[in-house]
Amino acid sequence: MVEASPGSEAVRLEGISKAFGSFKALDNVSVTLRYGEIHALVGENGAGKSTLMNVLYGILQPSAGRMLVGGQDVGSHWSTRDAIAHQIGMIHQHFSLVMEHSVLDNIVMPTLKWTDLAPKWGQYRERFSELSAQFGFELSPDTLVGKLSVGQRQQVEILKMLYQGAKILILDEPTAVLTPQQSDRLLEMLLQFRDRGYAVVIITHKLEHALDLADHITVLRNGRQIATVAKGEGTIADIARMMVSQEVNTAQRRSRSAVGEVVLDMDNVSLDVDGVALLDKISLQVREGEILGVAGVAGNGQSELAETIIGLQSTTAGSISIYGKELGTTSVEARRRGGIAIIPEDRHAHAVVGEMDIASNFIMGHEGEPQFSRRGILNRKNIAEFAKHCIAEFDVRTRSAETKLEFLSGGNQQKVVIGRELSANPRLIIAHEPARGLDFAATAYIRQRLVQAAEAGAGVLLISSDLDELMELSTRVVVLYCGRAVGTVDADAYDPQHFGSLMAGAEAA
Amino acid sequence: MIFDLEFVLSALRIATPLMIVALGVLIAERAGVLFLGAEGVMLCGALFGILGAVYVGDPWMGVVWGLSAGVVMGLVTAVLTVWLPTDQVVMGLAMNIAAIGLTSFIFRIAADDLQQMSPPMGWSAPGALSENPIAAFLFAVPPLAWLAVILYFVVWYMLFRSAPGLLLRSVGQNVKAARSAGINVVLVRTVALALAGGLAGLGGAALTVGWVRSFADDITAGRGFIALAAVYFGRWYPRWTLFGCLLFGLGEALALRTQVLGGNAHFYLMIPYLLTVGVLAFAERGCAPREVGKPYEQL
Repeated sequence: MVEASPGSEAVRLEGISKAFGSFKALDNVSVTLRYGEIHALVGENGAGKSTLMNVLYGILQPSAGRMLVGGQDVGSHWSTRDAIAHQIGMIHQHFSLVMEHSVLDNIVMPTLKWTDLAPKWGQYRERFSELSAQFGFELSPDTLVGKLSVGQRQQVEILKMLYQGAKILILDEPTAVLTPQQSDRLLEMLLQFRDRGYAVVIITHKLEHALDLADHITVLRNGRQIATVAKGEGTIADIARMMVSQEVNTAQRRSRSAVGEVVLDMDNVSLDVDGVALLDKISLQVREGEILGVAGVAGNGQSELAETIIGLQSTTAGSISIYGKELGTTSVEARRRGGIAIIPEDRHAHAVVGEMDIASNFIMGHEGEPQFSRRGILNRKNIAEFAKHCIAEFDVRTRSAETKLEFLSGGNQQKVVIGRELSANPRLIIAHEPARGLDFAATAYIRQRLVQAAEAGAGVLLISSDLDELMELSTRVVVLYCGRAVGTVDADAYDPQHFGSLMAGAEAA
Repeated sequence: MIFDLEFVLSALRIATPLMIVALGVLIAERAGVLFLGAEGVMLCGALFGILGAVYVGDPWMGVVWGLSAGVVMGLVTAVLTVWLPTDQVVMGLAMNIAAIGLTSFIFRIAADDLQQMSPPMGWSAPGALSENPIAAFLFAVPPLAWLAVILYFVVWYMLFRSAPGLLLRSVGQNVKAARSAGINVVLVRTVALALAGGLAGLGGAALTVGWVRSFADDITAGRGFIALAAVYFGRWYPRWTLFGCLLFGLGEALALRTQVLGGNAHFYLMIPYLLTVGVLAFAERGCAPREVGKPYEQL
């Protein structure tokens, strides 16, 4: 390994391109990483940030360009083993941990040799303790990783890199899964790594993190390198402008259309599970053309509210009506056909099938409609046309409609969900955290579609933990606390103090 | 008296092929490949074992032939389910059916040479020890049974104490983690399947060369599946798998014994299979290595 003094060059990527078929995921990107510096890669979902780092980490082979690690050209046969041997470590957005193995096994595994029949477990354990102490981790080596919290799993990933002796640390969206406190702690740790002379790469779409931490920020857009900015050279607005091709209208329009008839009427709805009131006498109304916000600290009945309306959970008391017609015990299918659309909180669990193609995901739940099938036989031509139309209409970035959904970035997956739900011309849209984890272009787009749907006469129930989102989009916001609706606030008369105390249950009598 | 030493030896003889095949299945599935083709590979091993024993005239050469046939079949499995990759269930079933046809066909060609029994395999205690009942018993245990027990210790150590074992188990639990550790998943699974195939072939040879000393169409009669069941019963741990195999061996030995008591032989022969169903119904699912059955597609 070459000298690793602060400021010296760790990695130079020159003119890296990567094509998947005719789709250019990366187009002539050049980045230099230095020891003792934090380099942020920013860009929209699908801009090529992860692809670039996967190339550096040897998971993907570049179609063109060259890589210099420690000043030496690595040539064309660059594998992950080589990357690890050159002190490069990477934490993927979705962790690469074996849940059934212990913390120690996970950390040691990448450094083991196939020929080592009698590993020195005692030494590994000592080395683990030393590293833990040095960086202030508190993990027991024998705990199964599956039993750890998400924050702790990330610590295992970090320790794994350090244990390998990595000096060049790549973190892909490390804060996406963390609570604000955990993420502050992580960012502090990254600064600590920088000060100790590590080269750190952070892929993020939280621009404030990038601006706070990074010595250099590289902006990618559609696989192309838009700019590399040094610390202090740009503001959030500058970089945001570079990330998206057009100027983003950050100020959202609220639906201004006249409010019409009552679409959804919930009257004293309760849901008791094992004697715990998850929903407690909730009454609310959503009218045509209105976006009603639902706020609250997570776990105060938001999920149950969405699930009782769509029919995944049955209420224990009270009634839910759509246009005055009580839903009673009608099935989810009947409710969806009756004009209720839902954008669930967890799209992987409740909205999409990753192993199926985009077209199938677009018609899922509507496959029985005459335009998609006749007597149980799918009409492939119509489905393909519909999918093509939806891909264009909802701006899904993909090579084709036959691509498996799981290969899309999170934002594009969410656009498929939104596209499917809105194409059915619903009368009531339940949107639960519709923009969670998305970059802000996708977020702005999805919010705009919700507003348009409301303006077109649908009622929207927007359940969100993002207060800015709620205040921007909704006219009124209902606050949930312990399953009760503890207050309704006009968005125009928003007072953070008052709102905060409502969410904390201070005014719940 | 039903439960005498001869009964224990009979159970051991029956369990030996199961033990060896199950070990192969265990290795394949720990590397994340469903080895449903074990039955077919075992059948090939059974035939080639006999061929080797008869044509070379040495039962140990039969064992080598059976093992080699198994390695080849394991590699075929690797090409189909790992390199291509195709569906592991469908391919496993196809391999089993193909193996029945293939072995019966070759058996017909060689039929005249396979009329007599293959030379026996075994050893006897040296003169001084033959008087000692314990030594006599130990020498009466089939040599391949001893080999099987030793292999269990070796495989247990390799899987759970050595570095390659941890790497292999990581491949079976999470290919993403394995890949980002720089492990060549395809290579690991190919090697695992070659080992697994070799063991399944060896198990087949243990059935024909080491026990019945002749071949018949479909002689394995589902024993490969019972080995598979033993692995599930043992929750993918060697010692419990070994225990499961011995249990199945005992069941079948009991069936052979109780024929003496009268009644329909098929009823008693049914017992180990019923036992299999019962064990599978009560064995916990959900502790299988996570990647078992999932084709691995490289980026």
